[in-house]
Amino acid sequence: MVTRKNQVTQNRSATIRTREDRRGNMRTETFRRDEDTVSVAVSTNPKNDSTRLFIDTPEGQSYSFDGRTARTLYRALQKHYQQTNKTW
Amino acid sequence: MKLSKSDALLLHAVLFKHLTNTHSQRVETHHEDLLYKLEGYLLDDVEDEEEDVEVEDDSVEDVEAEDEYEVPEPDEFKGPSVLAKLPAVSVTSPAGDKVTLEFEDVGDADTVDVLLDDGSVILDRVCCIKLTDKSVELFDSEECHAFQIKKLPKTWSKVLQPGVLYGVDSSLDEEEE
Repeated sequence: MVTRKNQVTQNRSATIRTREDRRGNMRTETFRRDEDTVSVAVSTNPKNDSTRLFIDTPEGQSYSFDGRTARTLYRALQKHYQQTNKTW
Repeated sequence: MKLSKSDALLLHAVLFKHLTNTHSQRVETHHEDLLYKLEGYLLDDVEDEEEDVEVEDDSVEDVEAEDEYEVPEPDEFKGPSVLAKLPAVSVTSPAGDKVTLEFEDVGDADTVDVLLDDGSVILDRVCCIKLTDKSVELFDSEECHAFQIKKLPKTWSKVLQPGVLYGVDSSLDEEEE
């Protein structure tokens, strides 16, 4: 008899959504993610174009990055995934 | 902070979506501004025509005045895509660090990013550029940043005339039309 490993699909109902928050900032964030996974949000103030990136880990730590760092992170990931054909 | 492969993919996906959305909103706002300006121009034209009908002699004087006016040399600068093609140049940053500087077209009509040779951004959304004898001055929304240049490549001086302040705006011609 073959015993199958229990496979639990994570974040089945999770999405990435963009909305305008209470302060009028454009906010893109992960939504309905499982509690034991990472959550990410990016917020841009349309008045002065300033951006913040927030990453919340399942361990309860929160990290905040400025727009310049967020852009550098994006560029590095974009370049890497382009090389490995993982971009869309 | 430790991120797994799937976390990195998630981070990329969120940043990608955000950049796409903010860019499209910026384009939308730009188009709205353009329409608003055009509307203003059209209204001005109507008012001007009415004035011309009332005082015909003045219009003749205006034509003579225009003949005397020296038309300034056209600005041959063509926006961020031109800057992005310029070769990287060795400079000394305002902080005194020796870095290699290059431009990147971010897709906006009126700004470029300035990168170091390792790809990290040192100045984002630079909107004006001025070359002097020994430096390049880059203006973002906050201030002017002057980088000392050791040796200016010829391709740079072909695109940017020293002493002239250029606005990074490829859509300028379209707006004028």
